[in-house]
Amino acid sequence: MLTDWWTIALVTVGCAFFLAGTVGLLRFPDVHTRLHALTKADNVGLGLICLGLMIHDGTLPGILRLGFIWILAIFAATVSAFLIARWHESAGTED
Amino acid sequence: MSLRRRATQDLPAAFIIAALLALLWLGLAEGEGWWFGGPAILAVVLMTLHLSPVRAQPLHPLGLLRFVAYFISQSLYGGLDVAGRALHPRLPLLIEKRQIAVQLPDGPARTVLVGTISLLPGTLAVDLEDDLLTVHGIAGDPMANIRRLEKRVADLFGLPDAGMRI
Amino acid sequence: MPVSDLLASGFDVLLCIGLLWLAWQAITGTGLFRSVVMFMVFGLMMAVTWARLGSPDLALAEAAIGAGITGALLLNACRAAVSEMRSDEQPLRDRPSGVPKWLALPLSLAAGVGLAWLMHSIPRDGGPTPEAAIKAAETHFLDNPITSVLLDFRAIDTLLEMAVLLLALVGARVLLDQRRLPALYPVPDHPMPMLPSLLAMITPVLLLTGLYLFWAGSHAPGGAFQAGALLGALGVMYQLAGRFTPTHEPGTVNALLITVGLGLFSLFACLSLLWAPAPLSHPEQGAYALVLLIEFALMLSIAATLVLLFVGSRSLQLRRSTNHPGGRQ
Repeated sequence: MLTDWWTIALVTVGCAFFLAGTVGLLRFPDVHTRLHALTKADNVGLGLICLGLMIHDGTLPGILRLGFIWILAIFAATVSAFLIARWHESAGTED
Repeated sequence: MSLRRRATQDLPAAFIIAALLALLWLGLAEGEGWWFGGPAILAVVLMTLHLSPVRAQPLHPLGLLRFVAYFISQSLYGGLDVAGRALHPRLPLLIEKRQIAVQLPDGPARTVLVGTISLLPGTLAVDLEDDLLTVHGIAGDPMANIRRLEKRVADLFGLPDAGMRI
Repeated sequence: MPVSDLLASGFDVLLCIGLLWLAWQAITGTGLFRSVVMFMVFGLMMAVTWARLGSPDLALAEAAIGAGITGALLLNACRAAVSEMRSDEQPLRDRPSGVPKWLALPLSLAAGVGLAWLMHSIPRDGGPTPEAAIKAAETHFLDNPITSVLLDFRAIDTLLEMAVLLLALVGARVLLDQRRLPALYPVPDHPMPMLPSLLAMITPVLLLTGLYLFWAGSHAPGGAFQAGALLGALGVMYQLAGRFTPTHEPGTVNALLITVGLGLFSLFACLSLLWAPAPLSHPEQGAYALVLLIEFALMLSIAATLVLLFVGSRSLQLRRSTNHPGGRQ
């Protein structure tokens, strides 16, 4: 029962990070600041959700799967953020 | 390149990839189907070395521990920081862009550095041209943070501590 | 009603509204790019919907093919359309297409009414077929009922689907040759930083996950289509990173890869007449190995066809990361 509460707490907090990241995406003024909001909030948000689900699953394969999901997602997120930021920098466009 | 030289160069990387892929197979197939998974892993390792050759880089165990601890604590802090700024009614952003000369050698160390910058508090990697790294900060000057991160990455790979030039 | 049920229905209602809203946005969006992005998000939401309906097979296919590969193809087309729009005086949107726009409404209405009528005409209890299919699937040599349907009960559909895929590629090639469209992706001169690292990390993961889906297809969600789409996505990434060089000479390996699926499947259809009265019947012995072989060939063909569709060139050559020539596919 206690593990269920841990899962609920972690997933809820993780979702709150996603919500804050989305608010940042909408409110921040330009591409670079928006990328800040996306990469950081998603990293922590997804990490907490995966952690919560790992506790819920409790089996080794399940934990491995969730771990792979988190690592692959944040690596893809940080590289694509870098490429978008770089493209924006070289294009030099406004917005 | 002779076959023997290639084998000695690729072998450590092949073992590491195979070990990680074995974990992935364990996660996906839930411990079943090794009769297919084993040969599949072998084939994938060979194809990976052909398609995207990588060189194994020894990690420093203590450095790895410190890097992971640093990464997790800073990730949490970075998430809270950006969430606070996004939800704050006045939207406090201290935008500053800096160009920093990277002293870490080209290769995995630099990849880890650039990949990590955007996940840590207040910093976003924007460009990397030769040795010149452009960093965008929303929490004031990103210089100090990058300096600390570069030291952690140097520790991770057991490299001598690289000083930073501006 | 318990709270969990209430939450689940609330989620489903949100999903339905979201799907309708996204579909509306994709159709009425102000720009091509925006519409394509909305369509891709729609595909992802659709995948979630299939998962909610208890169809992981469809969810996987929708996410990989519907949102992923189709999205990449549309973005590609969008880019080509924009570059054409810039070079031509006449914008693409206002070009007379010969078919009046208002026709879309009655046509789609008629199609909708027709579909609704068809759905209504299906007997409520489903008739004898579903029950017979379920019974046959229970004793089938493949443990995944979806794969039993795709490769045994309705193998002819799968065979024709492969033909459609090949035809799509041939059609795209003919169109590209006739209209002399611009080269879709200029290969970048020097590699972008970080991209080789991402490729090095993603290559083994996608290859093994693709092989896992292929292997899992016989007893769990997965199969040639999902596996092929994953491998195709890897190929698209290699193309975007400039690691594939499009060539105009037809390559033997490329041609083999795109035809091996349909070819092997058709060969099996002909050979099966040796041991059965109807084509595409499985033999008593070795049916499992045969299915694996056909599925493997299908996976290769699907992956290669999707990549070539994306690139729009006759064949591809691998460029070594250190500028060594050679390689295959």
